[in-house]
Amino acid sequence: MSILTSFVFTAALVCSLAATAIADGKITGTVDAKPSKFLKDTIVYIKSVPNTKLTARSVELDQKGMEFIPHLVLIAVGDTVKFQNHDPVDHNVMSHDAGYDLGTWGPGHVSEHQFKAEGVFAQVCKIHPEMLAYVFVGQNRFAAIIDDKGNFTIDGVPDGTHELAVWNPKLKASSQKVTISASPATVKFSLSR
Amino acid sequence: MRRLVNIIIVLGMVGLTGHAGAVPAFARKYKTTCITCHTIFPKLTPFGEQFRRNGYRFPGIDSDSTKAEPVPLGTDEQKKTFPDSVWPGILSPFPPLAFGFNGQAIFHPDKKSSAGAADNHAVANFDTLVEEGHLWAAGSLDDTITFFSELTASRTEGIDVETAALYFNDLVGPAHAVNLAAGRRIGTYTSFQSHSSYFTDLMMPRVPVTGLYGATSDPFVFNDNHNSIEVNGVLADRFDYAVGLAAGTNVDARNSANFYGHVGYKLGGSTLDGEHTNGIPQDLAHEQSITLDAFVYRSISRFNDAMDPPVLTKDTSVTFGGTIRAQREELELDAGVFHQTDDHASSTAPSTTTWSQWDEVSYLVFPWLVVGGRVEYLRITPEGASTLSDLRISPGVVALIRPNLKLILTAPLEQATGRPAAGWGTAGLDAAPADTASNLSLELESIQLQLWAAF
Repeated sequence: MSILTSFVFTAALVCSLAATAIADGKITGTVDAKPSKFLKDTIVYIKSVPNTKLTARSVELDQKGMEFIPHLVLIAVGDTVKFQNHDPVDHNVMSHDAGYDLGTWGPGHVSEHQFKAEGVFAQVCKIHPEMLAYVFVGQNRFAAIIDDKGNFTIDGVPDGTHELAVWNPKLKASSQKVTISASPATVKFSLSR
Repeated sequence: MRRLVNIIIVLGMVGLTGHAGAVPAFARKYKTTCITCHTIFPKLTPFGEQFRRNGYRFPGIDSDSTKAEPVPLGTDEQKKTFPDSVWPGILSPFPPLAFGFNGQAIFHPDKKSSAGAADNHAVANFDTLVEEGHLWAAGSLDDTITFFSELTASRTEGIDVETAALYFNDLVGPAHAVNLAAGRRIGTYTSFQSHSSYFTDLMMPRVPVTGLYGATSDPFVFNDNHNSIEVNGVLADRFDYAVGLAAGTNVDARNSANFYGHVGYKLGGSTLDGEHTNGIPQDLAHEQSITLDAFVYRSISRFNDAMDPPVLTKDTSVTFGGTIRAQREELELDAGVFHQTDDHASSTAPSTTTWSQWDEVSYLVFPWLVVGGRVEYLRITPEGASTLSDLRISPGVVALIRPNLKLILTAPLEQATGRPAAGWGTAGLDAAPADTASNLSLELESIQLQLWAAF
């Protein structure tokens, strides 16, 4: 290995490590809500990250115990959701937001749908109208569901300034600009009608 | 010192007996105490009046304030697919029921008084110690449709659906501007709840003119529970209105075609609908307001006059009146008057003109103790005959033993100038002159101790 080759290799390694360090950016924060009982089901996400390249994934959304499990699904554009039925009764999957009715099927059936656009798409069962789930489709994978206390963490955020937004089925809050640096960025959202 | 002066003023004034309106089902739904909406039930606080006026909903969006989370009958997502899906609703997580009972012990210091004579000159009468039982159901079908019903079982009058109504709120325009109430209920004739007296059943006295003349045992009274459809609302937070059609009382298939209207305006204090309060407290302690309102009611009542053989009689009645409520923190004055004409108080009677006037003053000494009283004056003038009148003065004290248990002590005094053919009793009065032309000077009728419980 020549000195030049060694230099180039070392430089590439340093650059790679540096890039990895930058992509370790962290955003933490809290969300509160008025009324507080609507705090759950809140998603915090980065609206857009330039030059995002995603590898498509497949995520399961089960119908079990007369519920959609999980209630919130976080995916990115191009991902596929596998709808399953583990109940002993028929179920249906329909989304007015996404503009489809996947049909009605019995126990054990699996149906798939690929989400090609960003947005939040409510999923309902026409047979059991109390069943509800939301599929959140982001431009990227930098999104988190808050915990019971309203806390959230988004890891691996690339360097730069991003627009951080929050989604809740009933409440709203303005998005915020967040700049990623060495220490974790801390953000607070207050949701209201 | 001001409190003492107020007490003295109030004690110088005037009561009767009560009915109910407190609904613990709401306390369960919102997980809040009765005194959020009531001072001493069923009397409502300014916030309680807003809740009632908004169709039994909290200001803003009702479901924001519910703490007993309902069973969803579908999700909001279904609204997007309507009419291909059923519009979603909610179900209370528990039966939206509440129970209660009331009664009274009556004492006659003067056994020779009219009320004492009616009780066979007994010193005490406990026959009505438990007089009524109540079953309430109240709640929401969603954020805009609510319901309220009351089934009353009376020891003497059997079981009656007093109230059963649906409230379709916020139909068009701004919140609270246009609502529809349909069912059996007392119409909106004033800006406040009808059961808003501390001392008696209704703030506005019932005057069954055809009953006073003995024409019928089931006389029509406009301010009673009737099957009705009413459009009401609050505009610009401080102006309220109502127009309605009511079935009234009939003995044949013809509709009575009763109709009524009401307007009211509140000056000062919190708003009528609880919106846009701009930080103004909505509790009694901060209320300084005057509310003025007016109403008109036109009715046709058909009944079989108590003749032998019975005579089918048609009475057309027109009533108009108004009330005022002045509130200065814990001190409140209510006054009202209505004028009513009846063209056939009985099949043989001429037309009658009736004036009813009432005043009630109350002071909340402590959050659990009210002193005050009522004055009721009733005057009837049959065409071409002498005027008959009755004056009733009822000082009283009301104590809230627990948020859902109360005692009322009243001592009604009464005098009368003459009496109608069937006596004053049909109007809930005690005075019993010897004959229609005799007078009765002021006498203490009784001391009444009432017990009310709701749970």
